[in-house]
Amino acid sequence: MSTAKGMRPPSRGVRQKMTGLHTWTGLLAGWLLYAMFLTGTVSYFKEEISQWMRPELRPAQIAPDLPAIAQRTADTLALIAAGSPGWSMLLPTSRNPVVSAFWRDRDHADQPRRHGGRPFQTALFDPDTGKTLSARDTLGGEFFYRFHFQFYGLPVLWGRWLAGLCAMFMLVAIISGVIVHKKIFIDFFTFRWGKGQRSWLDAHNALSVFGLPFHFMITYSGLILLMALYMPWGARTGLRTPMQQAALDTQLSAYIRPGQPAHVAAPLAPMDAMVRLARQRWGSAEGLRITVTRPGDAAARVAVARGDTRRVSTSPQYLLFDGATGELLQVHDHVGAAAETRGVMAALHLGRFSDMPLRWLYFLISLGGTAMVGTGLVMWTVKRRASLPDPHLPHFGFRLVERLNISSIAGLSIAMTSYLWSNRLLPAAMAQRADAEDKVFFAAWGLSLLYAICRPARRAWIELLWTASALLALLPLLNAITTNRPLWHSLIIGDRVFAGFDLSLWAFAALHAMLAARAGRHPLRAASRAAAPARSSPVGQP
Amino acid sequence: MSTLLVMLLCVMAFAGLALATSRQQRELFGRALSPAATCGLRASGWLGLLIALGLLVAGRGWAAGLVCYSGCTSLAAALVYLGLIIQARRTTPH
Amino acid sequence: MLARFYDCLKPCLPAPPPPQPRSLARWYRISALASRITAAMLGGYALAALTSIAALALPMATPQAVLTGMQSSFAVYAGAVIWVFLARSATRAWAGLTMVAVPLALIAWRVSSAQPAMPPL
Repeated sequence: MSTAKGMRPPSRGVRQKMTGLHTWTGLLAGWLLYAMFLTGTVSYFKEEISQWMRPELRPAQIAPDLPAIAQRTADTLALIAAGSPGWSMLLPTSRNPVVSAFWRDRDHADQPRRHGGRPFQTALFDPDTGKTLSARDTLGGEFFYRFHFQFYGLPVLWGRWLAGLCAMFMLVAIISGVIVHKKIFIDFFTFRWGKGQRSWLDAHNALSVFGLPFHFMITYSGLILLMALYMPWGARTGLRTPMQQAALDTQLSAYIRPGQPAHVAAPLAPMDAMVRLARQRWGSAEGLRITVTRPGDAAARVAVARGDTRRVSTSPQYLLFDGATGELLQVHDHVGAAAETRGVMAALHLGRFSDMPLRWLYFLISLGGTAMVGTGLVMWTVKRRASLPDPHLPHFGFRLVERLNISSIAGLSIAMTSYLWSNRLLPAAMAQRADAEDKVFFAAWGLSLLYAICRPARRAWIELLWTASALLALLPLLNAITTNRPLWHSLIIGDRVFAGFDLSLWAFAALHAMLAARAGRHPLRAASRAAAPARSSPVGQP
Repeated sequence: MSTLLVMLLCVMAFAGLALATSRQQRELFGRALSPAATCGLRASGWLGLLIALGLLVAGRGWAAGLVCYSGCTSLAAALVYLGLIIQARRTTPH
Repeated sequence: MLARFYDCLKPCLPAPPPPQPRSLARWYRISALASRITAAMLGGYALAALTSIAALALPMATPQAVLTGMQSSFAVYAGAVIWVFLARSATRAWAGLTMVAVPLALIAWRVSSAQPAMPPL
């Protein structure tokens, strides 16, 4: 069709090598990447998931007075976090209607542990009264979020390194995929796509091509989000003293180190005035993060950091106040070019600036990415089955991939839905309840793997997909039975979060049912049909 | 709601661009359209995409607008593509 | 099973050598592939790390240079991996990586030995 030099497909040798590279990087990391993609996809709605998983908490209906909310919460924290070297609170947003805070235990004051480890206490606060809220102990949507980038359940560093390795495999898979299919991008509306029996390849190619800007951005920005862990060498070489290190830190976050206490008691200055100043400056006090160091001491400092719901950057912008007098000491509102680039990349990945329509776009395209990885994995078995000498006795490698496919795809849906089921079924007063919910997730996933190993592959696919569909479809029913926020009630009162969640569960149930039905309709006939094009056309596209 | 309208505009724009290619014209109409019609389709396609960009940036600012545009165009192109495939499958005898 | 493993990998491997006893040919292929994988995963990372250090030589404030180096390192890593598998032989793959690594290493060494003299920011 096109004859210009730049438009020729890559030469045979290059395409073969890149196809091999694409297949291997995709296959080896595919199961983990699928999990990362799916948990990442749902994480775009993690606040809504968290709301659904704490049905006892009802959102405030009126427009919140954020300065007053901050003051009330600060007053409560002065009581319950007394003696702590510092605390940090997050003001509500339209999607996150409660106040949350964490603080270091007095007893663990000197340990520089990261947020999320044991020495931190956390609590939720009612924005109207400032009192702590009690709801069932659960991680909510945060579980999926933390699984996404650190495989929650694994030690934190191991999980993050593994995620980074998978992300590099994904990056190489994307680049090699683009090299192989260079021609697609040039004339994709005219490209000769296969019909019928090549549907897996077509689906994989289409999902890859149309989501390419997103997939490339999400992969690279994901690496950037954790780059301090993966590539610390420049920082180690160039920033030797603590002061130099601090110069880098202020480019990346609004975290302020607790200074030396003055050992002079002084009540915290009015928080509402500080929040009002921030609102004046930035136009909104939504999602402000207020960090206080040495509260109750004369050396207290308050950093009011801008929320990330209104701008496409996570670079730190904050006001630094003297905690005892309330005087504005410093304004940090810009960072250097490289730091701002990082901030923008991070924001693009996290998508926190999105309004609802954009958030749904993120969700749908990310779901497409999940399907891209899934179709790639399935396609491997479909293609290889065609070249097996005996389709009923595949070699070990093939069987391994097949079982891992089933448990990573169908099994993950079952695991995630089981997590939600456990949220409704586990008693609220149970000890270590949040951990128990996570254990249910992993147990369900493990059981799916066992099931996938014990059953014939095709039956395992069908049965597990139907199981997932059933679990998803029955969940709104379980919700209606175990809480006082059933679907019909949510629809009547216009509770978008609960209604939307229940309806989405049904949509996903329908999707799984469709996949299960499709798997049931394609017996080994697919193998013989796949054999024909596999023999007559080369790997990749003509 | 306006995002939905912009998405619709993008879908129509991509449909126009697709129809401006000779291969799709042959598949859908059985023959190539006149050069004027092809040109018109291509022009209105690009115009539609440009208007969509303008609407999104006007509503959200450059940063969020560009991100939304990227998402809308990806999804719209995919939808048009899906439509073409479904159409091709329906008309091709198996 | 091993034979099937190689069938899948054939596209990645260099051209086979002139006829040799079968076992020797097989070992040649295994070692060439292992060499490439090592070059890609470890050599690529080393190249990326060198890039992130060499970036300190850029004419900008040190924290910005550090961040620039970090952010661009992944592109270097990915590029190195692609190169390793495009190269005609494992030896060429390593040679290519080394050729890029040497100037980067020189810059990185200069930067790191100049450290104590640099003013804190």
